[in-house]
Amino acid sequence: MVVVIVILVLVAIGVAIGLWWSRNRQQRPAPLAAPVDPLAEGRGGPLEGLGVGAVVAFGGHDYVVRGEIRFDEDGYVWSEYHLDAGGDERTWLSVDLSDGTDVALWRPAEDAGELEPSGPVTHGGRTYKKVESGKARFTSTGTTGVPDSGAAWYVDYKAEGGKRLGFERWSQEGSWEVSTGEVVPAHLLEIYPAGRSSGAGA
Amino acid sequence: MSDPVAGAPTPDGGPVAAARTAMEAAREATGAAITARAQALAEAARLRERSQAAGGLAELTSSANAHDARAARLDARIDQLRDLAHRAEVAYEALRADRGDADDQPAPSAPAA
Repeated sequence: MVVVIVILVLVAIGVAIGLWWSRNRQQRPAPLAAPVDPLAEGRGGPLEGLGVGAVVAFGGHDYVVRGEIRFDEDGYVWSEYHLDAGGDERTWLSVDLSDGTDVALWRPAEDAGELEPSGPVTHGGRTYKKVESGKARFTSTGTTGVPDSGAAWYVDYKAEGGKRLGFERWSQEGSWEVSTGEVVPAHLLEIYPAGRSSGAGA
Repeated sequence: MSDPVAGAPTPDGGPVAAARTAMEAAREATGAAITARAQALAEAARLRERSQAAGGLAELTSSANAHDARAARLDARIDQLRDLAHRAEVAYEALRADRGDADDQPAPSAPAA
């Protein structure tokens, strides 16, 4: 009889402890959410829906996004989108959201010749100054002309008026691909996202 | 829309959410039509190259012309869809703005006893 009473008391103590712990856990204040930049690019921004299969309208042209190369240099990420307006010219859209919204449209540099990224570079009557260079890991989706993943080397130049000159190569011994770019205000781009049924003909 | 009993505004995402869905659907339809036009033009170019490589094969040229004609017909549809997408965006933003104005209004005072 005494044993039964002791067991009942122990069970009651256990239940009381459990109820106290549960109530204490519920009353514990939720951890504070990490601060969020209220002006950061996000849902509803001008680039919402940009991705492979989407359409980008700019400057009177409609470009189908055929591929994306996503770069990562020690956590610093940006993307380049392969745009196709139906012609032979390869057009790229670079998007860098790490520090504001930096968008630029790129085309192969005409008469690049033997341009090399060393010191200031003069091309097309403009003098470009080097701003940064590095090596980044990349992953590719869709049609881009590069492997699915790998390493890329880049050197970026800038001139007045938002003009850019970019060097990229996909192996340390490979030749540089030279492109000229112009900064594009993101709000001037019209993005038509790829539908859930993308790929089906009209 | 405010709650007259509690005196505080309640979430009213119905029309705003529906307008956003409509806007997104219109944008997707526009993108799909533009993509279809691009595919038709690419196919026309491919067939013309093949025709030229085959010494001007008439059947291939005819098929290329058909794809070009299809792309041209899509131009009018694309313009309509683009206009629809813009209108849907204007309506959506207006609804959002209206909702924001409603949220900024002071809560109605409690009815006198």
